[in-house]
Amino acid sequence: MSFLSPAFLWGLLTLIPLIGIYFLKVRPRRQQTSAYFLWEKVLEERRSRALFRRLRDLLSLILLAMAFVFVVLALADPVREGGPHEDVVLVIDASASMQAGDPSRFTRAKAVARKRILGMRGHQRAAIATWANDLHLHAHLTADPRALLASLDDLKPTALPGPRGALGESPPTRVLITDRFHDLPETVEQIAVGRQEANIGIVAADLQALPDGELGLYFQLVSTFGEPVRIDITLRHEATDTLGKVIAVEVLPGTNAPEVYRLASALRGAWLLQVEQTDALPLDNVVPLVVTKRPPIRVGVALEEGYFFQQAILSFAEHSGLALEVDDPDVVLTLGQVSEAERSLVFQPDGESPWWHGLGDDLDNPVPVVTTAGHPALRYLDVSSMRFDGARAMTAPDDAVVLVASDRGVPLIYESQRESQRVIVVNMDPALTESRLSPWFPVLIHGAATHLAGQTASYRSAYATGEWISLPPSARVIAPDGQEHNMGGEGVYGPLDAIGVHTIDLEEGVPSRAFGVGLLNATESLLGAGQSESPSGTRTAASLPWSWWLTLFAIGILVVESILYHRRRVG
Amino acid sequence: MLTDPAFVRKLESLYLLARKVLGGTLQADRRSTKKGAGITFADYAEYSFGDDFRSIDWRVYARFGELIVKLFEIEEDTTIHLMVDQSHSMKAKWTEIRELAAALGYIGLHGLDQVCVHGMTDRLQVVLPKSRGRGKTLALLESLEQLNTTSGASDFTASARAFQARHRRRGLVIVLSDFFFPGGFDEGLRYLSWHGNEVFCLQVQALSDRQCTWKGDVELECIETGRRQRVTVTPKEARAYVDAVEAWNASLERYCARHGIGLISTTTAISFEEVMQTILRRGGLVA
Repeated sequence: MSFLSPAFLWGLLTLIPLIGIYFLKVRPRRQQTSAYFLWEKVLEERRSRALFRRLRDLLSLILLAMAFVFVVLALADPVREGGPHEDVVLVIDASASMQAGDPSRFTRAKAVARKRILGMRGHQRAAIATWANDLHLHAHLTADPRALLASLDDLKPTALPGPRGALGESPPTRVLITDRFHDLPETVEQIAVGRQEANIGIVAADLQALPDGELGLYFQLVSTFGEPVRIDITLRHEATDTLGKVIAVEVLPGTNAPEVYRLASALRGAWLLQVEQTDALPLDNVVPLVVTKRPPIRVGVALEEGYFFQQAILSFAEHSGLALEVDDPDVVLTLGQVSEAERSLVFQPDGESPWWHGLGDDLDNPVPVVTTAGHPALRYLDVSSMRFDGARAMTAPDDAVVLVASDRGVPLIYESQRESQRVIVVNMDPALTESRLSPWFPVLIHGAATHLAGQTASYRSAYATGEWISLPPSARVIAPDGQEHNMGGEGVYGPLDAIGVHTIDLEEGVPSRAFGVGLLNATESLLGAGQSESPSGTRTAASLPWSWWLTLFAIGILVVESILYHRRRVG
Repeated sequence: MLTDPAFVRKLESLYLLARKVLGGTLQADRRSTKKGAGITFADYAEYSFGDDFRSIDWRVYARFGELIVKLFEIEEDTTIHLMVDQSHSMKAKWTEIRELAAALGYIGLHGLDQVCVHGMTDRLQVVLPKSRGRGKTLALLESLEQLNTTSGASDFTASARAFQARHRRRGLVIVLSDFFFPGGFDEGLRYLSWHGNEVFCLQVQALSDRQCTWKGDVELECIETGRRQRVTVTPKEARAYVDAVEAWNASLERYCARHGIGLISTTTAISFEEVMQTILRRGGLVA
C-alpha cells in the first residue's frame, strides 16, 4: 500500500493535543446536593455499573482516536500497489433499449461508470464515450474525476438502435457498459446492466393509401412477456385527433406474425400507431406513420399528332401521378424543338438549338449504354432492351448529364439545364421505331416527367431510427423538435434519431413531404438480461477508493462515540 | 429583611390569626395538654382522693349520685425553643426557614411565652437567649437576620444531646430543618423529647431536594462536607433518588406519628403565609 498524499500523515501528531482536549472535555459538570448521603445510597445499589462507566470513557477516547486516524489516512489517500494504472475508455451503450426499466439501464450504467471513476481517482486516466449508432467521445483522457463525472452527468440515452461497427482494439482499452453481450475482442471488458424486462414493441409498421381510397395498415409486434397478453392497438390521426381504429390483439411471447388491416378513413397526413400497454420500454410503443397524397404532375403535349404521347401519359394517370394538361403544364412533351416551358421532354431533336450541337446522320442500330446509373429518370427502365431508331449523330451541351449513350458515345438520353429551364432530350424518332408500342415508352415518359417535376423522391410512411434516407441536395429537413437541417449538397440524411414526424421541404413550388420515424427494431424491443464478460480481468478499480471507506468508517465511529457522548450528556 | 416593616406587618397579621385560632386572651395563651386548674373545660373524670372539691360537678352528683370532677386545661407560660438548622444544606431555603422561625418566635413573644432561638450544625449555639415579652421582638428578628449558615456537617443528634443537657425544664421545641441528617433524625428527636418537651418538626425542603433534573455525567458534591463523586444520571438513577427522598421523608413522618411529634413538611415553592396558616390551623404547635 502506498499513499498519494503522504504529507497528510503528519496530521497524526495532532492526536496528542486531541487526547488532552478529550480529557478536558469529559470532565462532568459539578452539582451540589443537600442529600449527598441519599445519592450514596442510590449509587451503592448501582455500583456494578461503575466499571463500565470508567471503561466507557476510555472506549470513547479510543473511538475518537480511531476516527481521527481514519480521517488522516483518508486524506493521505491510500492506494494498492500494483493496481490498474492503464488508460481506459469507459463506453456506455446509449442505444434505445438502455432506456428500459425504472431506474433505466442507462442510469444504472452511469452509476457503474461513476463507481469506476471514483475507484480510479488520481492514478488512472479515463475517457468517456457513448456507443449507439456510432462511437461518440464525450470526455478525453483525463485523471480528473470531477471532469469525468461532469461529463458522465451530461450523457443521455438515444433512440438509436444497438451499437454498430467496431470499438477498436488499440490502446487505450475499452470498458463497455451495456445491456447485452456484444461479439467484441477479448480485450474489451463488457459490464452488463439490466435484467429481463416485460415489454411489447412495434418492430415493423406501414400505412399506405390503397387504390380504392382506403388505407392499408401493416404492423408486427414482439413481446418479452412470459405469457400471451391481450392488448389494444390504436391508430389515431394526429391533425384531427380522430381515432381511426382500435385493434384488439393477443401478443404471444417472442416475435409475432405481421398483422394487416384496412381502414375506411381516407385521411392523409400523420397517424400515430400506439400500443396501449404499460411496459418496460415506452419508446417502441408508438410509431408515427405518414400517408402522403401527391398532386399529379401535369404533362402537356405540344404536338399536333400526339395521340401516342397522350396515351402514354394517361396510362399512368390513375395511380402514379401523371395528368394530361393543356393550359398550365408542369412538363411539356415536344418533338424536334425545345418548348419555352421550364420543363421539357424533347424527342427527335432537329434543327439548330442551343440544347444540342452538330446534328448529323442517323445512327445505324445504336447499342444503348447507361452512362449515369441510378438516375431517377431511368429508375424503372430496362435501357438495354430499348431501341433508339432515328437517333442521329450529335453532341450534347458541355454541362449536360448524359444518361444513356450509344456504344460509340453519341448521347441518346441526356439532361441539360440553362438558367431555370431544364430539358431531357431523347435522341430517337418515336414514329420510326416501335418504341412507342413498347412498354418502356410510357415508362420513359413517366420517369422523365417525374424527374423534371422534382417528384422522383418516394418516401416510406415510417423509417426506423438509425436509418439514412436519400434526399435532394436542396432539401431541408425539419425534425419533430423543430430543428431544421439543410442538406447543403449532401445526398443523404441521418442517422434518424428522433422519434416523430419529419417534414421535408423540397424545391420551391414543390409541396412538402413527410415521413415518420419509430424505433422499429426487434433487437431493441426484445429486452433480455445482460451478461458480463471480462475475460482478461478488470481494467479499472471495481470498488470505491479506500479513502472513501476510511471516511465512512470514521463517520460510523463518530456516530458510535456521539451515542456514548450523548449518554454522558443526558444519561 | 426580617426587620423590614412590611414583614413585621405580616407577622402582626399572623399573630391576629393565631389569637383567633388559639382563642386565648390571658397570659401564657398557649394551651397545654395537661389537665388542671384552668378555666377552659377539657373533660370529665371520676373523683379520686386528693382532687379539688371545687371541681366536683354537683349537678351530676344530684342526678346520678356519682362524684364526677370537671377537668380544665392548664394555661401556663412555657418556653418555646426554636432550633434552626444552620448547616450549608439549608442555603437554598435559608430565607424561608428564617421567616418561619421569625413568625413562630413573634407569636411566642406576643403570647407572652419565653422564646429561645438555637442554631444547629454539628453543635448547638444560642442565637437568642430566653426572652419574654413583645419588647424582645426586634431582638428576635435581628438575631435571625444576622444568622447565617455555617460550614461543617450537621449533626442533629449531637445538637439534640447538647440541648437535652442544657435545658431540663419542659418546653416546646420546634425544629426547623430539611431533616437531611446523614446520621438520622430519630435519636435526636428522642433526646429532644427527653424531659417531656413537646417537639414539633417543621421540615422545609427545596424542590431541587425532592427532584433530580440532572442528566448525564455529573460530579456530585456534598454541599456540607465537600465530598465528590462522579455519576452518570440516567432516568433510573433520577427515579431512584426521588424514591430515596420520598422514603426518607416517609420515615420521618412515620416516626413523628408514632411518637406524637407534630410535623409539617413543606417546600420553598409554598408561600410563607400559606405555611403559617397551615401550622396554625392544624394547631400542631399546641396539639
